[in-house]
Amino acid sequence: MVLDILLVIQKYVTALLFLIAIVLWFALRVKKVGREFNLRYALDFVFLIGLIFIIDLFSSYSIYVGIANKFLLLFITIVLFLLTLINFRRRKIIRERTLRDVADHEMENPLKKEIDRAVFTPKFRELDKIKGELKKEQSKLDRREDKIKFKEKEIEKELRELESREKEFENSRDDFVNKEKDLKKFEKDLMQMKDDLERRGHDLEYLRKSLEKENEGIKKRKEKYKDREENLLKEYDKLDNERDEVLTERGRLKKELNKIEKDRIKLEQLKNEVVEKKKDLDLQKNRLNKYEKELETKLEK
Amino acid sequence: MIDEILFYADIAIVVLLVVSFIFIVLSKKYEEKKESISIVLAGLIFLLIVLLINFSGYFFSGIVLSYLDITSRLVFVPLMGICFISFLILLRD
Repeated sequence: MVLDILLVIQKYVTALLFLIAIVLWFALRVKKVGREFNLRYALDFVFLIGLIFIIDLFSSYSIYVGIANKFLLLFITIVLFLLTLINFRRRKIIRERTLRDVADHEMENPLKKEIDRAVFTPKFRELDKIKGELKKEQSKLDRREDKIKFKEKEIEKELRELESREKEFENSRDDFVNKEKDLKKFEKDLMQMKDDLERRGHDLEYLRKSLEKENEGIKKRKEKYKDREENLLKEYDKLDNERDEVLTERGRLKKELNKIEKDRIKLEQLKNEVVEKKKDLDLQKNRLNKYEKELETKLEK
Repeated sequence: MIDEILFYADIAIVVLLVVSFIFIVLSKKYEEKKESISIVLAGLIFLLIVLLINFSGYFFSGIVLSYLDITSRLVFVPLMGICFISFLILLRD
């Protein structure tokens, strides 16, 4: 519903737009604005197309208005086509003729003079300026040429000297080539030495690493030995103390041993005494036994 | 009968407008104010679109046609008008 109303309003707005456009265009045409347009007659009919949208407003009143509108559009397009075609062909022919006239040397053409004035005369002036500058440059160049000739002679002298030097150089070049060969050999030797050194370097690096590892091992061992040494020192101190104790004990034991020896000697003496007493006793016993036997015998008797 | 005539009239209108458009494009090199002609050509393109949408009424129907019709009425027709008025303003300045 809203869209329908919008479309109806749009119809009126479009008609108004084109009415304004048509009025403006023809007002400008009356004021002779846009005379420079070659297509102005064709544009008349382009703007007249806007009439169709104006007439279209009345198409709802009758079907014939719509049909007439279509035929009007057909008529306008036919005229537009003809005008554009004619305009194009005419302009093409005029342009070709103008170009031919301009290209022809014998033909008089105002355009030629205009081109001469507008294009060639300033160019010629510029060329004259450039010519003057070129002459100045030429005189400068002549002066430079004299200088160059003088320098050329000097250069020739130098060239002779250079030739003699070149011979010397060739001689020295042979020496140089020989030396270069020697140098190459030396370079090869150096390269080999370098390789050897690199290899040795690698070996040394390997050895250094292994030594570092060993060094670390030794350090660890050293630390262990230190610990052990400390332990041993402690044990040594202990043993020393014990030895002192043993020595004191031995002194004490020696004293006791002396005592015991004295006691043993005493005991030996006592033992001898006892043995002697025993011997006496045995003798006395034997005597007693003899007496006893004698007594018995005597008794028996 | 009248429908057939209208159909051929529509074809003729579109073809003639296309050919006219081509000739205007070709004539553009002879014009001094080329930018003004470019605006007119843009307006003619919108007109051609509107006419082609009207012409499509012979092939489409229903919702498709109504959408095309609404688009052409709401977008291309006002654009064509704007192009022509811009051309006139440019010409007057």
